[in-house]
Amino acid sequence: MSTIRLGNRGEDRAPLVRDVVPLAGIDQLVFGAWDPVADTAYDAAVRCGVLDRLTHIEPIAGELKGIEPMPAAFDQNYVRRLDGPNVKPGGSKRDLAEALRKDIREFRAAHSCDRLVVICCASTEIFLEPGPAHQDAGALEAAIDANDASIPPSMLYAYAALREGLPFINGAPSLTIDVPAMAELAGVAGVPIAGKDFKSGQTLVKTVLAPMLKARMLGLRGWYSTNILGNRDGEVLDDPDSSRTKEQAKLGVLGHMLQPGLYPQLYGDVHHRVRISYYPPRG
Amino acid sequence: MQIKVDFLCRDSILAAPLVFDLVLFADLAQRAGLAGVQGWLSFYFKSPQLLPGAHAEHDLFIQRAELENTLRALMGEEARP
Repeated sequence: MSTIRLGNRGEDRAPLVRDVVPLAGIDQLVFGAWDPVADTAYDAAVRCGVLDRLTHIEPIAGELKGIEPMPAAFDQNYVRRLDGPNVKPGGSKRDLAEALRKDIREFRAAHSCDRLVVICCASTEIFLEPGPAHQDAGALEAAIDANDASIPPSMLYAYAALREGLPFINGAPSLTIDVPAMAELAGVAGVPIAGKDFKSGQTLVKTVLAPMLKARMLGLRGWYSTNILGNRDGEVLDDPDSSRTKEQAKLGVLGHMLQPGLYPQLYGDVHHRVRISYYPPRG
Repeated sequence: MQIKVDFLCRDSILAAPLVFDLVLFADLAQRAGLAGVQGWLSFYFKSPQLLPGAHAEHDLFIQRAELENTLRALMGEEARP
């Protein structure tokens, strides 16, 4: 829907983005998913109640019912507050990675896709820091073979996508592709990667307001942010190790924008707090 | 001075358009031969992943300018502020 200005302001050239770069059309897309919860897209949409059933969901019920999630590579050690029956049978991390690659190839064949993109919209995993297993592609392969604890499920999905030559986008705050080994795999495979953590709500507002304060050189003493959420995202974040991953992603932005090193009097002592509360009535 | 924002929203409705944009742009990037970390997509992320040594940009409007200038470059147009 967005336009892009070309040339000088007076030229009045503002075509739609999709008319000037060759984007795939929405009607050319097909959707698939992995999910430990076995609900079809229709069941999930009705149960979550985000969209209006009569206005939004029923008119496309046929398509939504056709989207059945594939069994997930899931490990509760990395997402403790989540469980579901639609998971691949326990095996080694190498077995799971290969099973995901097989899923990708079968999906491509079943839907006659020319191209695929994998995008992670999964729940937040526990906080992990980059370690030796993440430093290069060889170490990553060895860690997958060794069933190393530093390889969470999200990395198996990313690994599977990159090895199949597919772009991978990380919409969650989990470590996943934010390590040298994944950047190396992407470079070798010639595929783009990007992440992490969709900027959809509170941080979106923060990254608009903070530049305003800085543009006027208005000092800041503190910024208190609280997130009250009652959906499954909130439930997962009720685990301190998962919320730590999320809070880390949210905390960095102010320091980068306000440059306290350049403006110590204005921004040298900002108290930035980020809290996340699980509150089921606000689902 | 105090600013209070009460942003009551449905996160999945805010996230869905990001999913579409990112899938379409990732596919475009691949066809354009752009491999590895795509810093120009920072616009969509809280914690943008960057190449080693690159400076993180969080200001939404600077991020949008980077996104648009990458698209302009892909179509052979000049960068704009």
